[in-house]
Amino acid sequence: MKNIYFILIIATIISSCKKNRNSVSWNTFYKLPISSDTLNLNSFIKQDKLYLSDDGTYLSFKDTFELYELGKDIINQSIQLDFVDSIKIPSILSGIQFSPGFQIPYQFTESHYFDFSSIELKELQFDSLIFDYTVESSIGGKIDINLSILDALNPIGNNFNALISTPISQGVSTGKLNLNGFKFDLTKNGTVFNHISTLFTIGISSDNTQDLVFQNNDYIVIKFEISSLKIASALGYLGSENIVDTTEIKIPFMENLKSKNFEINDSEFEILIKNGIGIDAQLKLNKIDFKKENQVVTLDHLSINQNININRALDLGHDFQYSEMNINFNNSNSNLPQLISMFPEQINIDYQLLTNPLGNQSGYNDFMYQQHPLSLNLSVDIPLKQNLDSIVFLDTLNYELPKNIAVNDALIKLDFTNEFPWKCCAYLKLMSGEILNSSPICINHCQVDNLGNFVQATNSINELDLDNDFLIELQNDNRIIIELVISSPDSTNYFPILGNKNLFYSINMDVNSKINLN
Amino acid sequence: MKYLTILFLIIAQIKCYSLKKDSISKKTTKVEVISSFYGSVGSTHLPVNFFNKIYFGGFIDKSEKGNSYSIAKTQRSGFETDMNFGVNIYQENSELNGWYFSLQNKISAAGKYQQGLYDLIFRGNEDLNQQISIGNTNFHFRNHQLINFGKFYKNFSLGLVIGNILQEYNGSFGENDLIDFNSNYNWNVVVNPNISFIRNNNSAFKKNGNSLGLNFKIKDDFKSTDLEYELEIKNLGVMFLHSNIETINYDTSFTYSGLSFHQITNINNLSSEISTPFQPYTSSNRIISSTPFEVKFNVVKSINNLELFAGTFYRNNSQYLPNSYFGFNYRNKKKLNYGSNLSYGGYNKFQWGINTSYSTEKINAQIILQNCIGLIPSLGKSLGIVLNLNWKIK
Repeated sequence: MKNIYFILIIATIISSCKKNRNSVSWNTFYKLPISSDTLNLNSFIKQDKLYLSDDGTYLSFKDTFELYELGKDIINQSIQLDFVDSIKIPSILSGIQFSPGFQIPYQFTESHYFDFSSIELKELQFDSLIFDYTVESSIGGKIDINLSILDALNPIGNNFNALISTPISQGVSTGKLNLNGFKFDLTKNGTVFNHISTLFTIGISSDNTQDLVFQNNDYIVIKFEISSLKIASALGYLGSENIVDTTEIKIPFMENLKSKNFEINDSEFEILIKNGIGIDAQLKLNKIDFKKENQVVTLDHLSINQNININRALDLGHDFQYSEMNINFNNSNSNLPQLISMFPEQINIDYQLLTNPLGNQSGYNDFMYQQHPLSLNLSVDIPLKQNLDSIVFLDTLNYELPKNIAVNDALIKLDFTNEFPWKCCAYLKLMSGEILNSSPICINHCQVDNLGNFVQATNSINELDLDNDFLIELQNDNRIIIELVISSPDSTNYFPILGNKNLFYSINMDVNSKINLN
Repeated sequence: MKYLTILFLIIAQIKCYSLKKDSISKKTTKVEVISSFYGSVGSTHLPVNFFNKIYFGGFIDKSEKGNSYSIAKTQRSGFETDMNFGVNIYQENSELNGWYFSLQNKISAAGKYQQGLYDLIFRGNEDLNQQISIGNTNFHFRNHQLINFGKFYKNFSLGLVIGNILQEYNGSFGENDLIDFNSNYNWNVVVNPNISFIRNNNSAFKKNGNSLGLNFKIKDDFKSTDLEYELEIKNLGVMFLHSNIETINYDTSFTYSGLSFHQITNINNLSSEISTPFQPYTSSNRIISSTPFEVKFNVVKSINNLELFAGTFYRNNSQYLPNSYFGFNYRNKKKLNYGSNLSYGGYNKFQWGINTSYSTEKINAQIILQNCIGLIPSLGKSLGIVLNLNWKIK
């Protein structure tokens, strides 16, 4: 009996340790609220971008987008500050023993003039400036070199000083110099432009273990190369450059939209040119293309391919004045309606900008500050009084369904109450192309009067019965293609939209599911 | 832990054999080795097959979910295991007085809840259409290691219990908490959970909680009768949860009628958005509470070979309904004895149990089946099994 007991106990425990336990599962039937909400224009557009029309019958969408900005780039490419300093040890010092720590009573100065193409600068300030330097020495010991750039002042007015050293014996050493925040006076006391002078003193490094004797023709060569720079401001003559470029503006959201016809009443676009640089300029918009898939439509407007003169900004010390001008595009002076209705996914602006077209008109008083660029902005004013004909919104929605719930079948119930003058029908497709809803799920537009004004909301109820095969595919794919087709009640009126109009909806689901717990 | 337990059992058996076969024969009056295992699972409404599926896995079909009851009916379910290994060391020249020492591992889990909450999870909300109260819902899961030691006499024993708390989870909800399904697609939820977790610490000795309790047992006859009584209190004391206490405690009420448009169109971020407010947070508070002590009172009357007994049993802080029972044992003057009993309480309701014991001079084994009907899993509406194997060698 006792033996049986032992065997029973051990067998019971070992059997309870089996690892191949199956998952626990059971069927449930849930009535689940999936989503319900009230949508209006503010659900998609910020309140401060919407304005009520003067007669109070419709809203307008007004906003400004940045198209292009030109600032320090105007001179960045031309600023090359690389230079080389050579220190030749005076022959009078050769043959004399100098003990470690001895300061040689000589100063070595060098002037450097830079060619910045047509740019002649009086002053240049950097947010950041890093030099890489290389020191090559023929001297048989280590030399300490004190470098001063007397024309470079930091924000508290001290000039730049740095200690660099040669190798311990003949050879090359390298390092970095940090001149972040330094302002360079490039005029050599008001007489020239684009100039920097350097001053060196040298001494026998204390790292040497014995006295150092210079040889005849001993030299030190120091090369400075810009590692990185960011210009904060520049004064002088900023030169005359002809910048030719193409700016591409992508509008990814538009990739999902197509339309048979889309008409907006009296929309208005403006290009705002705002010049914060102290130079005159001439802008020429060679071409502005609106692109949709393979279709390209070019903007027609008087300003295209014409020189647009831009005046310089004014810095009065106590006051800074931008130079501003606007170019207006509307239905009567351009082909704007055609461009809007194509829902462009990319806009290409082909332009050229000539700076200082008349040369050094300011007498070396051009200026450029990082915080005051030349910018091109697009201002839009779109009255929400429109007529839509089959606007198609096509997108792929990603989702993740819980893996431990297997849905056997589901009935999705959709209930919409619509106060907008839009009819919207939805088609849902699996990635395989199979359509989930044999008939479209449609939300009827609100009731409108003969002028297109709101009369009464309409209610639309739909049901979508999903069988097991569809649900398995939905659970495995984690993606669904949704196609929305939106149209106005008729093709004759412009239908106004007001801020107090809503779309109420609720989506519920009756789901027969199997829950698995591992 | 499972492998350690197996190893320990095997070692214990080997030790016992060795004691029996050689030195034990010389020390039978000095040392008694004791091991016992106790396990039970029970519910007021769930059939046996439900627990089979939960433990072994598989699909829980309609019949295994139990009968339908009023959703307001309070139900209880739970399981527990108790393993105990130790020694009784007798004083010289005495077979009645001595010292005891044992190592014990107790694991239990239980819940008290309304039928409606169970239905919501295992059947869905299709037929609910009313309000479910979760105000009296509470649950626990605990895993304690206990060291028992003390002194015993003929009719009396007294000792201490020092506990290492490996895991201690306790949860309850606010008195007025509810989920209202009056409208299928518009749920009103009022929840104020108070849940605390103590997880196991990797250190073998330093645990996140400890307990100290008292064991007490008295067994005697009533004067001038042949009625014997037994009163036993186990682990009456305090439990001190001092480190790494995690809690979930918030007070909220909301109406849920679906996700907003913003949430449904940003579904990828939704799970973290929803779960973050409900994540447990580590609390610096310490919790002092009473131990899950047990009280048992039993009376026995012997009439010839028949032994009649009745008693009651209660366990603190464990959703355990006080259990009352009565029954008989028939001693047939052989090694095998048997009996039957009726009981009410615990995690079950009425149960008809049978018990049998096998006793020799050195071995005593006892099996009690609390509910015979539970042996037929598809018929039994509830199950209560106590497997109590006492094992001793003198």
